[in-house]
Amino acid sequence: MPDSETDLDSIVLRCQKGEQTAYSELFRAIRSDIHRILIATLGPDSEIEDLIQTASLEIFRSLGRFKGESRFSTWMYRLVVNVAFQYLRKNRRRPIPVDLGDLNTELVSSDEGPERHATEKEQIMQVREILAELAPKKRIAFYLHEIEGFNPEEIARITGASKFTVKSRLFYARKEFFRKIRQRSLLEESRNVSGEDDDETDRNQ
Amino acid sequence: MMTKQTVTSKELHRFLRGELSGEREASVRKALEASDALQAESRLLKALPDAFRAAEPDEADWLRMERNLLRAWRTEADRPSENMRSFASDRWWPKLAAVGVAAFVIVFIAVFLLRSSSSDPSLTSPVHSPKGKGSFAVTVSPDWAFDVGRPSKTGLSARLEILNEQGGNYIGVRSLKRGRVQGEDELATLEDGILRIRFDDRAEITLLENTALRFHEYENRVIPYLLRGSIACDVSHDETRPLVIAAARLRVKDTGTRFLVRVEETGAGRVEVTEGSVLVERPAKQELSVKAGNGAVWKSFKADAEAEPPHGAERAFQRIERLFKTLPPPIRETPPPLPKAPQKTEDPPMEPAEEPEIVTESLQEPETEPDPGIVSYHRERTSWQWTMQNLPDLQRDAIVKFYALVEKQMGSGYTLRALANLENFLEQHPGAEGEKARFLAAESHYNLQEYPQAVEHYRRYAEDFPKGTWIEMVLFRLQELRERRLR
Repeated sequence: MPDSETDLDSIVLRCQKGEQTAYSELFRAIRSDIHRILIATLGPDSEIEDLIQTASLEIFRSLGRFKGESRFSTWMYRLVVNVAFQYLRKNRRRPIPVDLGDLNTELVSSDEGPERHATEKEQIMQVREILAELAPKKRIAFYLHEIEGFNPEEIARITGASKFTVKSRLFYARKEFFRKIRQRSLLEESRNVSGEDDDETDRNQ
Repeated sequence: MMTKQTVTSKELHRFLRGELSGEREASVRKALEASDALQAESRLLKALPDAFRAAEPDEADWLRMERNLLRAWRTEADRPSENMRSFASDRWWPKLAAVGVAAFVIVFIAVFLLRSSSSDPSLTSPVHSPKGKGSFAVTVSPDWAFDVGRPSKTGLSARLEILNEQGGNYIGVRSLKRGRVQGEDELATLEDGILRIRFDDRAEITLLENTALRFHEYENRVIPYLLRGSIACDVSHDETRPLVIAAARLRVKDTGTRFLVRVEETGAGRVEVTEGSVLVERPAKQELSVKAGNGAVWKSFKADAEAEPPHGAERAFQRIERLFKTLPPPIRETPPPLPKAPQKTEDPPMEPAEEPEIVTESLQEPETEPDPGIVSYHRERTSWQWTMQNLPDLQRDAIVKFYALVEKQMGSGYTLRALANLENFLEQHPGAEGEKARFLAAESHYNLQEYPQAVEHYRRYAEDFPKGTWIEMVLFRLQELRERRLR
């Protein structure tokens, strides 16, 4: 990813002017984002590489229509999410298979010893399973909000849903997430009630 | 002291994202240190980004993907596509071309509108020359009148008028100048349609149902070519310009006559001669002269015409024969005979204040001895026209207004109301000024499909006004209703 949004904008501008080398730069700049969004929506998938190329090609095709009225990342995420949803519609598959491999390399290195490392690994696996059980639309809203830091308005633009729908999806995604965590006894009984009333309040904000 | 129960998941989540204010953050931190459950939950929430994270492809995979992608993109970019970006946004010529096209369209529309507005608006209609060259086949409503085209374009300066008011496509052409038709002009009638072309010299060509006539330019002349159907010709013979009808590679040439030509799409056809004679000729072949009462028939495009007696049983021929009987005789270019005296009508209040205009005109023309062998053509003024001309102004205006009202009612669909007015008028005006009322009453009944009443009115019209303005139409209607009843 370029150092700043401005760098990305300049690459996009060069692409729009027809500079062929800029496309290569653009792909390098956005490939990780595309990969991340696709993984968040679909989970690890054997066709992820094809989907990255499909989404990138779609971005290249649509660059002429990008007028700079929104952030490039928002515009690009929308295209990628569309590609992911098209793929889901075509394949009609849920839940996302949980990939158990490569987790060691994914984890941030910890200095707290192998036991703690194993516990963290176990927790991540559990969270992944829970996320995989969320509906794709809820999952992507949850991901964009919690991880990417987009606000509901931006998420609405990316997913093509209304702001209210996005808020609703976020509310139910959180509720379902914490409920499933409780069901897996990852939290103490004493903490069962926490969060839900709070979430309701948040949804109505 | 803050307990673990007082910290909600939401708060913990905000704490981990650094969204809490100083005091609240401190309390959550204290609660977190005190509670193992909170610590476990915090670990789970911290694991959330890791749960979404997946190992990226290694650099070799990225490079492979990039190569494939760029290859696909180059292939696509080289191919013209509507999805391609416009690389030529700063070029001037596409804009100029677009402006040029827009200007052309605007000018074209403006010229079209100007031309339309310059003509008599009553002649315009949605069926006007759909192919732009005077070629048309139409189904028309009774109140439409439209022109075939403009002389500059099609050579047809004729006005087409609907002669009946039933809503069929019985249409007629008046004032078509002979020889002004251009090549490839085409006239056609649909089922039950009759199209009449009336030339300046009163010669007439009548297209019967399902007939198509195309005008071909040949040796600096325009020859009507009968594509299909039947046409009846009623012409005065002129040695210098005989009427020639081409059909199925044959030519039917008048030598002073009324005749009917019929041709099928297969090329088979026949000629029926009612009066005078015609020559049926094929280039480089012997011509066949067909005299009145006889016919000629041919079986295909290549076959020669053979003489044959008329096939009187065919309905179309019978019908046109009857039609001819009701028509005035063909015009001879001789002056009309002098009327002895104004016709006396059965209308007692009508006093001819002065001589009818036609008499004055006729008197001014040089007297010539009418050829006794030729029937002179002179359509006398009907009682209706004569009466109307001689009515006092006030009365005439009232009658004109009355008819205008009735026709408006009929045109607007208030036929019953119009009929009541007409019946009332007929009671009060049994004389010649009621001629039009009689005709309109008959037509109203006809439109309402009250055929017995219509027949009664038509019959009374034919009896009272045998030379009336609408007598042709009335006789046609009577014949039509008779055929309908027979069917």
